[in-house]
Amino acid sequence: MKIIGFGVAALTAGVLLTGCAQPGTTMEAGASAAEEGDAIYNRTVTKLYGTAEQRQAAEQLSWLTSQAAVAACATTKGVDYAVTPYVQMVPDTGTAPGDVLAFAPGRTDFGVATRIKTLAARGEPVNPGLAKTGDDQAAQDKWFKATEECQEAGHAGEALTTPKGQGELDAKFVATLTEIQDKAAPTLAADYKACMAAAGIESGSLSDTYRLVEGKFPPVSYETASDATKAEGWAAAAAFETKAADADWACRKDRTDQVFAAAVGALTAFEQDNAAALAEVGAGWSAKLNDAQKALATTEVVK
Amino acid sequence: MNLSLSARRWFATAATAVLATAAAILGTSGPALAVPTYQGYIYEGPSVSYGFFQANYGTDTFTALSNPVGTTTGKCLDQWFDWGVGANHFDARVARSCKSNYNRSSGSSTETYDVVSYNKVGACYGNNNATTSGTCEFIRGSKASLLPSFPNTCTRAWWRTSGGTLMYGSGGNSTSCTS
Repeated sequence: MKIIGFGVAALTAGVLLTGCAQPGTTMEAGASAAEEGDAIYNRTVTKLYGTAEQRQAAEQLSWLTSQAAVAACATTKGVDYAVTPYVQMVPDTGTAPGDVLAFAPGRTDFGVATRIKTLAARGEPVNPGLAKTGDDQAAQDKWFKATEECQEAGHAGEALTTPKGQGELDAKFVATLTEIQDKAAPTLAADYKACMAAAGIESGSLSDTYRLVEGKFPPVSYETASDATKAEGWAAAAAFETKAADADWACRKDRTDQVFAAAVGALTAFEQDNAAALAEVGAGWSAKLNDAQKALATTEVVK
Repeated sequence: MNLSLSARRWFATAATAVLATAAAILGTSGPALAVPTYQGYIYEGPSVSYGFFQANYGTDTFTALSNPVGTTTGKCLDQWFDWGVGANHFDARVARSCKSNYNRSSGSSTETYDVVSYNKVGACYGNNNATTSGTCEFIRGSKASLLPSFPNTCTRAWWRTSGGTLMYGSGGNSTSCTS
């Protein structure tokens, strides 16, 4: 039962853990079933989805690997495609496998306003390789043609955002969580929908709630740097994001204890039945930190 | 091929797909039919801009490609593809190009999740980061609930920025819109 909030300026997540067991802790005698379920859940989630730091390392590794592959290909075609530094683009809001209502963390917002505001302020710099072509139209055409042909080279690096085996295990875990919720809180989805409607939000799921939040924000192109908060409708959208996050948590938090308590058996079984795969994926996440550092040390990055 | 500006058509080699799918629904006995490839071109935006898609839910593979032609600065063409996975959420996939005459492609991509059907297939042409508010042609499903502002945690996207850099947004966890 985690509450995750975000500062205005930073994309790094500020995580406030309230009253829940921390990952990897052993249970003290007398701990409730809900606390036990929470502890097992957190252990599994950390192995399966990594920590925020590991996830960012994976994104950085993927970025550097993909961009470097495109750059190498472009060089063979006589064109300079610059690898620019990795910058985090999306706030890390914690993990919500399958957006399953009873297990997803509560949040003070979904990171949408933070993301749009940050990306708009950055703008989209011209790739330094393209910038070198200046006003030479023929050179620009050659640059775009070469990089279009080289985009295939970048695809292999995309898989590095997660460790091998993570996707398959994620699917099994989401199925397990869904089954637990269906048995322990069979009316939760319907009750959530009714509760959100009472709050003035037409949403039948956490995924829907998020999409409604995204849809409220005014369109902002990042082509030219701008202050997105000046766009018409921004204040109302940002307020709706907070309202939606508050309502989302209020509409399901009273069911979490009973579900986590009921989940002990199934989560224990999942952890045991998939011990080897969890260990492998967990090790994969751990390796991302070193792998990203190696990529950073060996990739020519143009600022 | 010369198309009028107002002509929006799609062309898909889906006849085999339709017949095979119908047979599966009727529960034909005998050897299981191979899952057909579902592919085609969707013409949207200025002539002869198109989106291309190719998918097979038996092999869990797909390709989405956006190919704008004669498009205006500040406008982009999207090719959207959304799998059906049953009751749960699965992030949509999209390829976007905002550079006229140059495409952006997902390449042939294989899902690590067992996808079971095609939910949405369509193309949109509109302002950068707000393409679904422009003009769209969907041959399956609709643009409802698609999120055109990239990157976000609900969409797996391939796009090129106005400054030329080739981008990829994993969308985070494919089964989660919020992470």
